This record gives sequence, C-alpha cells and structure tokens, in this order.
Amino acid sequence: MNYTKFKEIIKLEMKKRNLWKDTFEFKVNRDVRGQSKSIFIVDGGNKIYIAKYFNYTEDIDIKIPKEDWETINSLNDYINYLDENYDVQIEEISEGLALKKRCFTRYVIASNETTNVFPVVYFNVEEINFDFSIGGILLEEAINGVTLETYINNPKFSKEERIIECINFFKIISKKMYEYFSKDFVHRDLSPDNIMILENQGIKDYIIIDPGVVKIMSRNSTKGRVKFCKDLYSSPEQYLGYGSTVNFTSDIYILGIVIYEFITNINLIKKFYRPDILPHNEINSMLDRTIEDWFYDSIDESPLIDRLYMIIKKMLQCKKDDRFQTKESFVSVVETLNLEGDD
Amino acid sequence: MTKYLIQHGPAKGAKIEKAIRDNSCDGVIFSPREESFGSIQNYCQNNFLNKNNTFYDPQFYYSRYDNSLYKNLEKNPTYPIEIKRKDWRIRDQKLLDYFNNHVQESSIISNQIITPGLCIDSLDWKFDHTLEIYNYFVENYKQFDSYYLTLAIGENLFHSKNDIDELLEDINDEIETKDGIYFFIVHENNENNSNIKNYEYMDEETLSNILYFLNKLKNMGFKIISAYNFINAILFSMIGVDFVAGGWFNTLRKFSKDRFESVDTFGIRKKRYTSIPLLSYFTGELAMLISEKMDISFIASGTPYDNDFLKDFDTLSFIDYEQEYWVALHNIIEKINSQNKLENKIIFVKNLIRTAIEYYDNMLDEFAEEKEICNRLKNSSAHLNKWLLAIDLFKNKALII
Repeated sequence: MNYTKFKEIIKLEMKKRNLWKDTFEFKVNRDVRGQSKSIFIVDGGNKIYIAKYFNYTEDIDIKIPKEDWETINSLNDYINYLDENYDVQIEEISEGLALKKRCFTRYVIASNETTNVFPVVYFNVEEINFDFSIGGILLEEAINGVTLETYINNPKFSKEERIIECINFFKIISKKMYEYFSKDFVHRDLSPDNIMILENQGIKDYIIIDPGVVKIMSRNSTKGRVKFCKDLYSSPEQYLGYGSTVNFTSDIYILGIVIYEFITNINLIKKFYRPDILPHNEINSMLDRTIEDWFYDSIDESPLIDRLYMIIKKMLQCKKDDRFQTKESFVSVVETLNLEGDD
Repeated sequence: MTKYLIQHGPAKGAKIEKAIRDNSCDGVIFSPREESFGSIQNYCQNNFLNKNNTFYDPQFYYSRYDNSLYKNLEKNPTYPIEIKRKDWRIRDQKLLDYFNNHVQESSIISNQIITPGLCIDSLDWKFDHTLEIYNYFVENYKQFDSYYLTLAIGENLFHSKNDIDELLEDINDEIETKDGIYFFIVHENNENNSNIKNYEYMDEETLSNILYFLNKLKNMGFKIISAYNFINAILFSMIGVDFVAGGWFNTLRKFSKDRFESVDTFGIRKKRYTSIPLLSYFTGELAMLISEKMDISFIASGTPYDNDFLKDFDTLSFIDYEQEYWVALHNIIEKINSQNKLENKIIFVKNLIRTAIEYYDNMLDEFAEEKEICNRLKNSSAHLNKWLLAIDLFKNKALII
C-alpha cells in the first residue's frame, strides 16, 4: 500500500473536520492480521486514532493500466470500465462489490449506533479511488489493550478462574453481538485477535475491532481460497466461500469456536483441518464424542458446565437454522449461564 | 404493436443511449436497486429520454428478500426493510411515506407509474396487498397518464391453470381501473432442468399458462409490459403485449432469486450471438466449430454485426453482442408487429420455430459423428419443441381457432 498517499488523504480529511493537531504523527500498523490496511495516528507516543482502508476491488484479479485509473472515481466507474474492457462476469462482480461496500457501510452504522461495542468511528468516506483500487476509508479511535488471544493463552489460569473469565466474557460479548445484529451487521471475523480487553478497576470490558469483509472469489482462480489463518475462525458458509449467505448465526458459530478454545485451549478447526475436507463437518460429527471428552478433560463437570457445553454444541451446528433461530433466543440462553447458581 | 424497453442494470455505460439512438429500443425501465435515484434523474436529462419512454420500477418486491440484497435501495430512507403483512393492513405511516416518495420520484422522470407490488409465489396476502396498493395509487395519486400494476409471479404458480384462473378472476373483480400491468416471472432454479443449460427452456404447460394469462389480461383491457425476457420476448410480442423488456446481462433477462446465492464466485463469460433464424442465444465457440464444416451465414440475424461475427466471433466485444441482441430482437418484433391479427402472428412465429428446428436438424445431421457438438446443439435448441407445444396448448386454452 502507498502509505505516503494514504497519510496525505487522512491528514487532509482530518483537517477538514478539525481533528488534526500539529503534534500528531503517523505510525504504520505492522500488524497485518486484520482484513483492512491501517495506520495509527499517535501523539507523544500514545496511539490516538487508527485510519483504515477497506479495499473493495482487491479480489478482482485484473490489473487496470495506471493511466486509466484517472478516469475511475467510483465503484460505478470501475464496473463500467471492467465491462467495457475485459471479458469478465461483470454482473456477478457487481453484486459482489455491492456486498463488500455494504459490509463497510453497515460497520460504520453499527459503530455509530451502538455504545462500547466497536471503537468510535470519527468519519468515513464510502468510495475513494486510492492506490489503484476503489475502497472505503475510516478513522476510528485506537484501542490500547491486550487481545483476547493473548489472554486466553494465559497458562496461569486455574480451572476455576478460566470458567469465571470465560462465562463473563461470553455474557458480555453475546450482548454486544445482539446490539450489532440489531443494526443488521455481521462481523465475519470474530477471532480472538480481533477482540480487545479493557480493564477498569478490575472490571473487564471487550471491544470488537476489524470487521471482516466478503471475499469475491473466482472459480478459475489459481490463488489460494482464503488465507488459512482466517479459516481457523470461520463458519462453514464462510469457509466454503458463500459470503453472501452469511448471517448473524455465522458470527455465533465463530464465537462457539472461540468459547471452546477459551475453556480447552484447542482450536477445533485447526484440530480437524485437512486440506481436502470441510473441518466443520468433522466437528459436527465429533461433538458428542472426542470434542466433548476434551472439554471435560479441561474442566470439571457441573450443571453449569453441562449447560455451557450444550450451548457450544448448538453454536457449532453446520446448518445455520440449527444454531439459533433468532438473535434474541441466543442472547437469552447465554444469560441463563449463572455462576452463582452452580454447585 | 409491441415495443421494446431496456431493463436497466449495473454497468450501464453508454449502452442505453446507443440502443435508443440506433432505434433498436424504444425506452427504458429504470431500477433504483442498481443506481441511486439522484443519478438516474441526472441521466434522464439526456435528450434521448423523455417522460413517455421512461419507466421506473420501484422494486418494492425486494422488501421481502434479505436486506443484504438491497444494494442502492438502502439509500432511500423510506424504502421498507423486510416488509410484513401488517404494514399495509394498518396503513403504516412509513409505508405511506415510501409511496409518496415513489410518486414524487416517478413524476420527475416519467408520465406513468409502476405501482409497488410484492413477489407472488402463492395466492395469499402478498397478492391481495399488491392489488390493493394499485387501487390506492389510482385513487390517491391522479397526476399520471398510466398506472401499471406490478405482477411479479413465481414460476411455480404457472404450473396449474386453475391457479391462473383464480388469479385472473381476482384481478378482474378487484381492479376497477384496468390500465396497465408490469409483469415478470420470478424463476426458480429447477433441479429437474439443471442439466439443460438453456436460458429459454421451460416446460410447455407452464409456458402455455403464461401466454394464456397475459392474453386474458390483454383481453380485459390492460396495457402490458412483459419484463425480464430473453428471446422468448418473441412469444409475448406474438400475443401482442404492448412492451417487452430485457437488459444487457442474463440476469436482466431472467429474474431469479436464486442467482444471489452464487454471487461470490464467477465463471467465464461467454460471447453469445443472438440468432433469429435459430431463435437461440448461440455461443461464438459453437458457431466457430460449426463453421469448420458448414457455411454458417444462415445463422445471421441481419444486423450490422453479422459480418464481423461470421469472420471471427472474437473481434466483437461483449458490448457489441449486447447491442446485437437488441437489434436482432427489434427486427423480428417489427416483422411480428406487421402481421395484422393474433392468428397470423401465431402462424408466423410457429413458422419461425419450425424453420429454426430444421436448421438445427441439418446441423445435427452434419455433425452426427461428433457427440460433443451434437450435445451442445441439442442443448441450445432444447426450448424450440417446447415452444411449439406451448403455443398449441395456449391456443387450446385461449380457444384460438
């Protein structure tokens, strides 16, 4: 990515909105796990903002000559250009690009209309011609904290601590998910490295960062399907590439993988990964067998734990309809997990 | 007299302008899903468009689909998200605001209005509400020259003539001002037909019921727009609908919900020539294979694109093929229009189909030894016999002697 140009754009947009201070500096975000490219805006070493670029056109395997980019200022221009110059399935590409843009705009809306679920978004531009692509940019608050990934791998946790922390996390995150589901948004990338932990006077809160985007894939592409690391936290429908059929139950599936890992330190998709099969099918068939055994190897049985396992099982169903029918039923079932009532 | 309208979609470029200036199309039906109203409004200031040749489909039927499919419809703050039965029953203010907005937008670019309608896949409230909304528009918004009732009907409803008769009876009883119908079929991916890759293919019973349905509506006094068509537009012009419509992409010629399931992956786009003599949408590759043994000039439709196509199909761009499609259809519809009555139009079209079958038979004889080519030819012509059977069934049902 052309960071020099990106910095120029961000600085200009921030100045327009009186957000820029002369003491600010840019710091490139080398952590490239997220699906967007980003850069921090720091003040005296403190990360204040993060600017992100969501490239809508990156999956389209066509290199448009640099000089022609001068005439392309919007997704519509881009689609017209491809149609007039290349032998591509433009109607399908157009549907795919519209979905990508929708992921971006729904994220901005969900951020603006919820509290403490996502970082605050200060501004966004829906369509911009940048770095020989079309995408959306946004500026949001930088979240300083540890990721859930670092946290759940903490070996110091006792069994008891682990279950307390896990259930607290599960309750808080499911309420937040309910909030953004209600804004018609699906995150698509709820991996532990995208959940930040904030601790204030011993009370933990969780902020979700870096939403995933739809992948537009070609049947004829020789490139890898989806990056393997992201497959480790994916629903079956995302793993197979059916991005447009993703709904709130897809995030519920991914959370099921995360919760199981929180308790057992086992990532089930990694455990059942083989290049030629859908690991989710294997997971489905093992839920009453070894997966249950590993679970109870990690944690002592109790009515609460049994109930937790039942919920995880429901979250990890291959068929979307078998997971939870409504976002309300999901959040209310999680709410019934009561640490005090357990004996 | 059937006229041809362009079904607007994504990547419009200069396609509409060229087709209208070349006189191969007579007007356009705009889709707010594909382009925001502001942008459509700007485009309508071009002098090849006027309020009489411009139609505006509100695409209200998407409000029953998952809202991830809304595209630009979402930009309209009044567009009803996932509409429910009670919204119209209680005359929900938001819905009435949406109607007002649609009236306002339509009146800016058009003298006629397409009233909002839901996708009708069974005889239920969606059908009732669609009729009631049309009546509401006729009664409350007097400023338009014409009113078109949206009938987006599921293909499955056409399997039975009884269902169709019931639909017709309700339309006749419930609609007092019989002005216009904006009709299209909502296709399904039929498992049984999935081995036949032919866009025109439809079983004869269903197709005959569609022809019967439109003919009856016409006889009731409605002006009819038959939207989202492939070459089957010829069959609708045969029964004298007022407008047939089709766009530059396959999805703008055949409306289907299921297509949305596959938008994440894309295959290879094939160059296809619209051959009127073959009544087929013929791939350039197959034409090239045929030309190795036969002179293929009989395929040509009499368009300015023929010479290039016959020399080397690849020299024409996809955009050329889109224009060729319209020119070819326009020419044949003109000929059908020139037949003075329904009976003669039917004879004319049946002769076209018989001739096409003969051309295919000749090719099949010539390539009898080459199985792969024979299969492709059989696939490409699979609809023709169905069309002949459907026309006969239609004549029986409509008692055309």
